[in-house]
Amino acid sequence: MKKLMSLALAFLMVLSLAACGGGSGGSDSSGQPAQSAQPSGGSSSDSKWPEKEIKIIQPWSLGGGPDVITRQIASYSDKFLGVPMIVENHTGGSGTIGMNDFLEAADDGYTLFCCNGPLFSLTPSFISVDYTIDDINPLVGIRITEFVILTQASSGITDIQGLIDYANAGNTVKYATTGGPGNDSFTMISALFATLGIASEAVPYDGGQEAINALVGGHVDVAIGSPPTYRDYVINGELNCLGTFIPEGLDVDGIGHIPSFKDQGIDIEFTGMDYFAVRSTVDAEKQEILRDFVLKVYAEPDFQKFMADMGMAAWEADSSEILGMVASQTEAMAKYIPLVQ
Amino acid sequence: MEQFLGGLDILMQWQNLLVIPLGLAIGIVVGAIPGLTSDLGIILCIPLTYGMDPTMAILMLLAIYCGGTYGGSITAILINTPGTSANAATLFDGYPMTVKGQAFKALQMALFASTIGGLISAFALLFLAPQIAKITLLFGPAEYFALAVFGLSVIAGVSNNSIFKGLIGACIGLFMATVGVDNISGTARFIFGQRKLMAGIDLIIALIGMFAISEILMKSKYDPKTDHKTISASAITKDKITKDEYRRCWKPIGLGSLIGVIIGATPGTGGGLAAFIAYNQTKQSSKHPETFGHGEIEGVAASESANNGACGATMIPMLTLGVPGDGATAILMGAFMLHGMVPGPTLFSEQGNILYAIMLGLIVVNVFMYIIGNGFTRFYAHITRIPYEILAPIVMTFCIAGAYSTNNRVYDIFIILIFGIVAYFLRRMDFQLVPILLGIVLGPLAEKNFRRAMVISEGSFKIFFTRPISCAFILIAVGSVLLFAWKNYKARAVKAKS
Repeated sequence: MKKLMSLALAFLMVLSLAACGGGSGGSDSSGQPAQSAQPSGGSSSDSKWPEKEIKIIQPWSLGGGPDVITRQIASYSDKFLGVPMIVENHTGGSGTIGMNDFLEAADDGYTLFCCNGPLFSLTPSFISVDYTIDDINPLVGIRITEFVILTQASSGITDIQGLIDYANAGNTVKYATTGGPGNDSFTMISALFATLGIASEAVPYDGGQEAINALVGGHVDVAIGSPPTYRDYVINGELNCLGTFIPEGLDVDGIGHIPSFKDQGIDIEFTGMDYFAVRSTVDAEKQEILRDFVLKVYAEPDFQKFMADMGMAAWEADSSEILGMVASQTEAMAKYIPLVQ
Repeated sequence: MEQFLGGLDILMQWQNLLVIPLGLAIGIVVGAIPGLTSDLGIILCIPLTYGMDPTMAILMLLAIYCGGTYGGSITAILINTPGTSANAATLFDGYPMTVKGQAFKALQMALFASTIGGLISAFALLFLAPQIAKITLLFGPAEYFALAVFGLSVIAGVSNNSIFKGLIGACIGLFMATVGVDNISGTARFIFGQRKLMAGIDLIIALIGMFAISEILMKSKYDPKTDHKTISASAITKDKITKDEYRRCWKPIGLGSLIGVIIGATPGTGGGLAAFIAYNQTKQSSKHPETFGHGEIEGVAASESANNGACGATMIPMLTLGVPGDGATAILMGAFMLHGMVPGPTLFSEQGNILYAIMLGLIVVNVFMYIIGNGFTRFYAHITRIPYEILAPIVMTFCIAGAYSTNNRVYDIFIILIFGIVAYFLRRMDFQLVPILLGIVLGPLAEKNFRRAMVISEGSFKIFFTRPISCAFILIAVGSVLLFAWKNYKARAVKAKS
C-alpha cells in the first residue's frame, strides 16, 4: 500500500511538473514558445506558405534594443501570417555563434536572422569566421544605429575642441564603450580619438546603458551611446552631446540637432544598421512574403508608437540598399580598423 | 500622491488580482524544477502577455520572478539541488533539515522568510527607489571589484573544515569564469577551438551539472532495499515551526532582507550573492555558529529572506537607470519595453500611475505568495517520501531538458555531464561546491571591474582605497576573514584544552 502511495505521488509530481515541462518543450527555444497555438487564420497571403512557426535567430542578448524590436515585430506574426514567430537568442562570439546556427538551419525560409553591418565589415578582422555576405540575403531593414559621443555637463566640455583642449592639458581621456574590441562602438570611438591624436584609454562595458551610466556616475570622461540610452540625461542637462558619426548629423526629439563629426572637420563617419536576413538560397517568393509581413508591421500605428517611444524609427530599406551600405561600411572599416589594432 | 492613488486604482482591477496567483503558481513550479529557472518562466510567458495591458502583463511576470525565486528553495531543501542560483545558500541548512526529517519545517521557514524579504524589498522599491538609484550610480569599477572581493570573503565562512579546499574550489570557479571571449581585450580564452564555448559557460548549466548531476552520482551507492526510509504521510507535516523558532529567526530575516535590498539594488549582482552574504553574516553574528550547516533553521531564514529581498530591489536600478540588477530583470526590462515603457530616469514622470500600480502590486504578489506557497509546501513536502530510485530518473530528465532549453543545444547536455562528473570526484575528496559556485558567479564581476578600475586609475591600486565605498567593502571583507580566523583559532584552542 505504501509503495502504491509512493508511486502515485511520483506520478502526481511528474504530472505537475510535466504541465510546465510541456511549456518548456514547446519553447524549447528559450525564445517565445508556441505563444499562440492557434493561428488566427488572418493570413494576408493566398499562398499556403508559411505552414508552421517561423524562427528568428537573435545573436544579441535578451532585452537589448534589437531583441525588443524583433520580439515586437514577431508578436504581429499571428495577425498577418497566421503562424507564430519564435525569437531565439543565440548569443556570444560577437554575433558569430548566432550567425553559424542560422547558416546551419534549413534554407526553407522558416529561419530568419537578426543581422547587422559589423558582422561583415568588422567582426572578421577580429574573429576568424566561416561566412561571407554571399551566404545571406537581407530582407528588410530594422533600424539605423546612430552613435553619439557624450560628456558630463559638469566637465564643461561641450564640443570636440573642448575635449582636445582637455587632453592637451595632460589628461588621458577615459571613454566607456558598449563592448570590447570587435564591437562597432569600440572601433568607432577609438578610431575617432586616434584620428584626433589625443591620449585616450577605452573602458569597455557590457551594453549601451552601462556605458552611459558609467559617464553619469562620473567614472569615465566620455561615453558613446545611441538612443534611447542617453536622451533623458541630455534633456535633463546632465550630459552634453559632442557630435555624431552619422554624416548628415542627427535630429533628436527634445534635444535638437546634433552635428556630425564630418561637419566639425573630422574625417570619420559611421552608420550602424540592423536588418532581417535569410539564407541567400531561400526561394524568392518566400522572401517576398516575409518582407511584405515586416513592412505591414511597420505600417501599424501601434508599432510606430512603440518605436517613437524608444526614440527610433523603423528602417524600411530593401536588400540592395542594405547590401550597398554594408559594402561601403566594409570599405570605411578597412581605414578605421588599423587605427585601433 | 496623485500618482500613488492612480496606481492603486489601476491595481485594484480584478484582472490584475487574477493574474498574480497564476504567475506565482507558474513561478513556484518552474523554480522548483532543477534546470528551469524563473528567467525561463518569464521568457515562456512573455508572449502570453501580448494581449494584456502593461500593468497586468508586468504583474504576471513579476509574480513568476518572485515565485520562481522562492520555488528554487524547494528543491534545494528537498533534493540538495538549488532550483535557481539564488537558492544555492539555502542548501547549507535546508537539506540537512530534510535529512533530519524536518523538510516541512524548512519549507515553511523558506516561505515565511521569502515573504518577509519580498515585502521589505517591495516597500524599499515603493518608497526609496530614487534615493537608492542615486547611490547605485556611485558604484564604479572600484566599488564593484571591492563588492566582489567582499562576496568572495564568504568562502572563509562556508568552507567548513578546510579553508584550503575552499580556496582551491574558488580558484576552480574563477578559472571556469574565464572561459570564453574576454570583453576587455576581445581575446578568446580556454575555448580549445570550440566555437560554442566563446560565450562562456552558462551559470545555470554549471549549476545543474555541479549540484543536480553530482548529487545523483553521489547516491550511486544507494540501495533501495536498505536505504529507503518509509515516512508516513501524517508525520511529514507534523513538525511545524515553534514560536521560539520564529522568535530566533526574526534577526536573520531582518538582516537577510536588508542585505537583499542593498545587494539587489546593485546592478549585476543578484539574489545569489545576497543570500551567501546574509548567510555568512548571520552565522558570524550567531551565538551558536557551530549549528550552522547541520540543519539550523536560522540559516534557511537568512538566505531565503535575502534572495527574495533582492527581488524588488533589483527593479530599482532597472526602472530608474535602465540597468537590470540580474538576469531575470534584464528579461523583465525587455518586457517593459515591449509594453511601451522604456526604463530610465523619466519613466516615473511619464508613466507614474502604471509604475505605482506595479510597485504596489509587488506587495500584493508577496502576500499572495505566502497563501499559495502554503498550499504548495504541503504538497511538495511529500516528495521526500518518493523512493530515490523513482525520484532520481525524474530529476535527471528535468535536468537534461532544462540544460537543453537554456540555449537550445545538445552541447550543454554534455557540459552538465562533464560538470557533474568533475563535481562528483571533488565531493568525494571532501570539497565544498559552494566556493566553486561563488568563483563562477563573482569571477566575471571581479575580473572585469578590476581591469576597468586599472584603466581608469592608470595602473594604480590606490583607487580601491581612496574611494570610500570601495575601501569600506575591502575593510569589511578583511575584517570578516580575520574574525573567522580568530574564531577558528579560539575553537581549536578550546578543543586542544579539552
